[in-house]
Amino acid sequence: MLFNSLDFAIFLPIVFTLYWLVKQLKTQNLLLLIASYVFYGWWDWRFLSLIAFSSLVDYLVGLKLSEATNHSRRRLYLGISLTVNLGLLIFFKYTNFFIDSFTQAFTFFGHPITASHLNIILPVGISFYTFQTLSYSIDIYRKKIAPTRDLIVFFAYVSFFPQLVAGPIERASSLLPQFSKDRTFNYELAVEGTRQILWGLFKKIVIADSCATYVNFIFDNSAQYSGTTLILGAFLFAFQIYGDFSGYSDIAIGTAKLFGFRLMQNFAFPYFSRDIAEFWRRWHISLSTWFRDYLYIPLGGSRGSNSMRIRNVFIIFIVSGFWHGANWTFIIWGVLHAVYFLPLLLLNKNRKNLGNISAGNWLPSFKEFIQMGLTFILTTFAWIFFRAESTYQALQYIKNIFTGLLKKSAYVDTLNIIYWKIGYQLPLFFLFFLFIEWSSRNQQFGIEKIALNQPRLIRWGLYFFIALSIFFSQHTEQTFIYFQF
Amino acid sequence: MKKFITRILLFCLLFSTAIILTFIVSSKIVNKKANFKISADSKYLILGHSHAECALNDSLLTNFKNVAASGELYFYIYTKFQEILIQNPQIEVVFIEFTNTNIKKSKEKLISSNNHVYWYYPSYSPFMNVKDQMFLLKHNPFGFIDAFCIATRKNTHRVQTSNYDFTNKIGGYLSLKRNKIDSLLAAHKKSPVEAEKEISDVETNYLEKILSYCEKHQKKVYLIRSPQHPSLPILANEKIFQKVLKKITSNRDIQFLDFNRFPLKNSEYADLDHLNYKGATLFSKWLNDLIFKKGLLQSKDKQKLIQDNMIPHIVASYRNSSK
Repeated sequence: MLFNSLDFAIFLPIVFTLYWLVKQLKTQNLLLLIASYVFYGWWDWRFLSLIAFSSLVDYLVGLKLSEATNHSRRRLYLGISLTVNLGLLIFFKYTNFFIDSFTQAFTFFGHPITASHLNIILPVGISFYTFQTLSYSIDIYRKKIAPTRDLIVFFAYVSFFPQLVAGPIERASSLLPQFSKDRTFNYELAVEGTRQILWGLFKKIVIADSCATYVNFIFDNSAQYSGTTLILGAFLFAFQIYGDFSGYSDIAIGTAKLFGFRLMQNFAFPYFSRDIAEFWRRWHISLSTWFRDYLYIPLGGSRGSNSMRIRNVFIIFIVSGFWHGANWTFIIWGVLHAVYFLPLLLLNKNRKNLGNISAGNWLPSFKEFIQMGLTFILTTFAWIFFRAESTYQALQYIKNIFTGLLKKSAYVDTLNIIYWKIGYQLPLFFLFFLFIEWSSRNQQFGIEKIALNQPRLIRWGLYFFIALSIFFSQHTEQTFIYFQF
Repeated sequence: MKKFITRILLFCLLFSTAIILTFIVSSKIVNKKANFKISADSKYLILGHSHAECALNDSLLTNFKNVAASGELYFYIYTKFQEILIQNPQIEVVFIEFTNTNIKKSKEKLISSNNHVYWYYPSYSPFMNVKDQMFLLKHNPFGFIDAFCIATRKNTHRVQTSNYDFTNKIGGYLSLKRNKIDSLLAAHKKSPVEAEKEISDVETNYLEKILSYCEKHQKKVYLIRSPQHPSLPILANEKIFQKVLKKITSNRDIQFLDFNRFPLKNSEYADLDHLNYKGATLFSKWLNDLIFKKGLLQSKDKQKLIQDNMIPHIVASYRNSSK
């Protein structure tokens, strides 16, 4: 079930009403579990067994880990959790990638082999919930948390529907205790959640989906366009992916608030970062911190010799890229970020910009503005690999950017596309979006505090404007399947 | 919690009201300004689904306009047709495709299927009567709500951009290049498809509404069956088809022009249902001569004239002239 679907618009009020009607904690948890399985099964019920299996393994591993005192036994139990979770992830997400890569490698070295693809469907959210269950087992192994004995609570924690398919990847230490605490309806929290859902939908539908139309158009026909149009395509994709992912996270966090849960902030206005290190402290925070705690620090982190530090940075960024998808383009995306990050680390400047940009001022200084712009350009350049279907396409795209960039006609073409295809609406929404995000850069999400103390007419006027923008920006027109007869 | 729910409901109510008002106002404007005008010399109109859409090349038929469209059902044709007729008083004769496929019970489910509702409702909503809209709402509430939202956006966009032109949305001749007959015949031989025996009352009812509308506006109507491959499985419902045809045409001054057995080669079909461009060219040229040179529409026994001219050597002469 998608957050921006009619199904979810019906599902959410039903679950919300039932949830607050039942009041008893155990029943609330059971209801959340059932609702989460319905939510997940709506896409494909067959994969419910997979999530149930993954949950059961980690539930049992958790209990066994807490009982075992022998170190080798504890390692064995952790090994079972790692093997099962990573095994599922590798099988469903990476099998065909490995088959392709091996075939290509053998062909490259003059021993062509043929191997057929396996017909595997990638279960939605598998990368998220396997990481969530893994962190549970690792934290118990490290004796940071105690296991839960309540099966319903654990299953509900793994499958909690607001964050099941696209995160944030919650740590057991933060989310699990919330399932065991009595929850009473909190009006302020529910209002905040609703505002966050509204802003998330705006980012997803008005910004991301609108950008997607033009991004697909430009990337699919990149050979026909001038360099400036390709730059426009890359910038639009930067906003598409941000709006899409952070919008989804906002809806997830907002939905959790409606049920009395607090999830971690996943995006902290990353495009207002002054360097790449700051960008990674603000982009997909739940994943970055997961890799930091369970991979980077165990590898030695930023301690040790320079060669160790360089190795660790490359490992974490390559794994992060690989986590996003089974394609070399994602790996190159990760490598690029490692290359961006390394100079900061080696010069000990990676923790220079810890606070918010232009704190206390409305506008950034000239220096901050330039830093922000450069960081945005670097990330946008890397996004080309993230968006491209193949490394070849990405390289062609980049090559075409620099072809004819100095010609006047290239700029005329781009202006024509903006004027005739994009029109005035999207740029106006962009201005509104950037204004709100910039004004809220010290908050948790776009409209957290905007107009909160204003009279109801102004507040509701803002909500109405956002809701109408969402409604009129939806791209639901379908292609007619019957045309394929 | 009561306060929260009350405020959310109030907001939803106000928002829904705003959307419904936008829908009503934009629909009224679109309805008033819509352009369905076709060429002034188009006296003959062809309505129907993909069979007619692919079989009748109106560029080869004098003063004809083909507005048949893939998958279009009488339910939707009824709305479109009324608008076309209102804005095109020059239309004298209406040809309505009526084939064995039209009476299938499964067509009824298609009317309110997501696929059809999403596609047709947003285009035709400004012209659709309340009863028809209620039919869709009753049979597919979720799909209808989605389509209603799409329609509101579409109508608002039309008003915003002053684009009221529907002439490119009403259908037209579709030239198919493909020929899948051999593979289809092999597949059918392997696993024969059974023809549906149940009839769609809703679709036949809407066909009758179209016929009544023509009668009311004094337009001459012919039901036509364009060529279909003899191995088409649905032809097995011929007895029921003839029964329904008899029921529809009784008490009405309507004739049925049957071209079902038009002698075409396998290479002139796109598939078992549809003609490809070769078949359409041949059939359209032949039909044009039959109407304008041999006086089909003035003839007393039209079907006999058709049968007399459907003999292979006459058709072959058109095939040779095409080359």
